[in-house]
Amino acid sequence: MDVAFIIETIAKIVVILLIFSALAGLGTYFERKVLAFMQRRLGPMHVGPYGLLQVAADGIKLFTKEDIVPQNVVKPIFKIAPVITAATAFMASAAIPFWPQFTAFGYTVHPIVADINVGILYVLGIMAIGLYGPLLGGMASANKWSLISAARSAAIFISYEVITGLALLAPLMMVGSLSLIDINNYQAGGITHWIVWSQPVAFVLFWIAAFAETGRTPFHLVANDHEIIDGFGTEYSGMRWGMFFIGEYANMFFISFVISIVFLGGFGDGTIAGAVQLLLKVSFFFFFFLWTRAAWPDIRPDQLMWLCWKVLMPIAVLNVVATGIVMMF
Amino acid sequence: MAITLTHYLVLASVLFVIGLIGVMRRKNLLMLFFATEILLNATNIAFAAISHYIGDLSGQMFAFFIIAIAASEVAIGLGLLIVWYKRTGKIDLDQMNSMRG
Amino acid sequence: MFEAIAFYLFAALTIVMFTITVMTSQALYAITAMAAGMIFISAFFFILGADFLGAIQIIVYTGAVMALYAFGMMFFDTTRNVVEKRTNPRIVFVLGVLAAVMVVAIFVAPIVSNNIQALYPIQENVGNSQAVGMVLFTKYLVPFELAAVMLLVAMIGGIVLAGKKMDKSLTLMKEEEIDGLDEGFEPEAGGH
Repeated sequence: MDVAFIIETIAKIVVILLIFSALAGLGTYFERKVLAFMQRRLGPMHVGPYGLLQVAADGIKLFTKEDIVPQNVVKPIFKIAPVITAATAFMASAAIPFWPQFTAFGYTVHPIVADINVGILYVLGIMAIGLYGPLLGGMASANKWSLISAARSAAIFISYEVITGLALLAPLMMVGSLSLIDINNYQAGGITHWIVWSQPVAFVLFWIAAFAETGRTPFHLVANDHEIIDGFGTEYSGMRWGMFFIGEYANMFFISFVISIVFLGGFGDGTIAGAVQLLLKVSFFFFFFLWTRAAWPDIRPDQLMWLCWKVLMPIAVLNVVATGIVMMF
Repeated sequence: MAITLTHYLVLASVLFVIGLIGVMRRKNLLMLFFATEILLNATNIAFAAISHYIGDLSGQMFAFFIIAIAASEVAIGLGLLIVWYKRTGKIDLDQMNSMRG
Repeated sequence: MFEAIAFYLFAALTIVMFTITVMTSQALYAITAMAAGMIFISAFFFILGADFLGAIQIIVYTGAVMALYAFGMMFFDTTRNVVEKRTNPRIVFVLGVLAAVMVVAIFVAPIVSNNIQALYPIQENVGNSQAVGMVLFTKYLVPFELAAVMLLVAMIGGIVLAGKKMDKSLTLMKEEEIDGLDEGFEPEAGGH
């Protein structure tokens, strides 16, 4: 372990942190704009050109707001819960290749923090830990809505992890490796080699489960405005609440990266064109999250569980079995 | 300052003893379950360390089976606790003496 | 060097976390410390080169087992102080320390470790997950299948035990109907 390696790793971590914190902020702007256009409004317009500085204004507001810790909460847990959400989202990014390797000033850079050989399992595992933010935040708040939200988040995350795991199993059986770089290289031959053509069912299942894992609108039950106020976030204010938001948006970006790399060819053969393609795919998936929010109503918790255990899980198991049979003969 | 197998085994025994104290100390059944999970995890560390230092994968296999056992334990244990809680409204170990002869 | 630093750091963190779990009377502290301790233990597996085991540890223990316990905590209404009757704290510690001494003596006895031979050596040219797969699906196939059956039995057991009266939706009932449900349930429960 030489010094250059350590410096490089630290530099990568800092760059990823900065870029995705900024993107999480910009994500709120995009969300408001997209929702506004879909509802024939203009969205934020007053701060800066086309309201672009609204992000900065929101940031200043969140940072300078009074940090209220209510009386009957369990204080250390209440304070640490938002940090868990934000931290796990960024920890998951360690095994995601964001860009093909490139050479700058005679130095080859691998834009991945750690290419461990269980990459995709690691990403799934850390995203699973993300559930502790809403869970502990909701249980520590002395508030019944927060408690309901915590119970829902536990139920949803445990259930939909089954779907993500089983949906990913079929593509992984074909690739034969858990590293995201190997999965990407398996599809390097161009658009006909993409896994989505051979595993369309797994693709749709994983996409549906991604909405549940990030808690986006059709499955936005952990903080459903019209029945449980803001769920686990009801008692939070200021930057603590903002950290929940940063974690949620960073998670959306990272899961978009995972879908694009596993099912849609990732950055292909590693040229600049492939890299731009990857960013376009990720942007599409991020836009799709916002699109769904504008177009779909929330579903009921019991419908969510019904969908998971009685529809998606049997389909996922059948998909795995079918893939196994096809691969055997 | 090389880390040897003994380091890991001592760590595993320390964690095991912490779990053991928890099992003897706790009266709330849910907290008692936490202590049993500590016991299982301590053995997992010992298995993985032996597997690494002897150069044999059997240790890791045992760790996998222990994880499977822990998962089953939670499912059955929490199911039994829910039935008990519905009947008595308490999950205190000292209350479970209805079979005293 | 890095290995030593990582080992001592995570060892201290794990011990502190599990001590909090065992000693605290606040249920939320216990579960948070427990979950953190599980993640720190997966760090040991990564240090030891057992990557697959580490990832499984995170997914199964932290993602599923502890979340189920959190669910149980909400169900049993133990999210704040846990009141427990302490009978004799001193004997617990004496027994614990005695057990510690015995376990250490057994582990460091040279007779045991000298007679161990590697039956399934770790192959050099394949990654950890491939090596695990090879051993798991050849030598340990029968235990693996038995573990699968055990998990199935546990799943069915959990559903049967916890899922009584699941077909009745409490949200759609009136208050009196729910009360009536309880009364109908009591004679059956009191039958023991």
